[in-house]
Amino acid sequence: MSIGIIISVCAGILFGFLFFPAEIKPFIDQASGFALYFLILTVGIELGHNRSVFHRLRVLGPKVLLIPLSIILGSLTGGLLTGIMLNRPVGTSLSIASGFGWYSLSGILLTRLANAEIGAIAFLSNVFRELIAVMTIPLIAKHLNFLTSIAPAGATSMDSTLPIISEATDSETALISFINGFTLSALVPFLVPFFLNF
Amino acid sequence: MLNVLIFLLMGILIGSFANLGKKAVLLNSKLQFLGLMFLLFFMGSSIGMNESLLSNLKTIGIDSFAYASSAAFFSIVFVYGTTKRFFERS
Repeated sequence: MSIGIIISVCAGILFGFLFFPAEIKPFIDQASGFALYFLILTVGIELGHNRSVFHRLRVLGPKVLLIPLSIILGSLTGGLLTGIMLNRPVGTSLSIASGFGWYSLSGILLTRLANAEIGAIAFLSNVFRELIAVMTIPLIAKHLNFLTSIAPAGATSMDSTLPIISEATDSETALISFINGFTLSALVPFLVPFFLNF
Repeated sequence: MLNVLIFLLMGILIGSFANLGKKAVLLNSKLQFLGLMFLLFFMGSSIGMNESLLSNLKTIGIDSFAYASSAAFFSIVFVYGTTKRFFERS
């Protein structure tokens, strides 16, 4: 999966730089617009199909949602402060931070809704976030507590970083990690466009 | 922006009520992968076609790292606070 992502982005950069004339830009924009709606539809189908998550959520109680809520508030605080430091617009910064590590979708959304530069920052910053998560999860689980190890992973805690969290903690934390990733993933397509217009 | 939300909600409704079989779910995830690769290719090409962006790649990299590390840091601080306040067993 991640190799496919790297190859696609690099091939795109190479083709854009070497072969694509500027005149085909409107065509690319239109084609990627349709593809984006299609992709969002498939993401929705997957979320809707995963009904067992709602059952697990009932068993654990609503308190478990405090974890994704804290990650949202933490990510937005970090994005806001970085935006102020870098002198970038508040809405753009909150939008980038709302990717919660889901680099492919946030990069694509912001390339489409803002511009190529913001899209590239969203993509790269969320790639970095996943890398930071991979490196810090075991340390946080050991030195702070199990639940906090979910924090850097953000939306990736339901798929790519779930095995690391599961390895470093226990089965209950892994379950909460999945629910956290699911909740944040469902919110990315809402929050990224929402904050962009701030 | 509105279109993104409409398509997401449509998908959630289909996924919840259509009673999809294993094959349909597998097909959905394959189509999702294809759509993703297609879009990432075009995201890359809009980066490659944008000369000012390419010449600013170093700044973009540093800014991206700043966003990533601060978002991760504050998420850790907030979640740690929450676990201490609401999850610690007495």
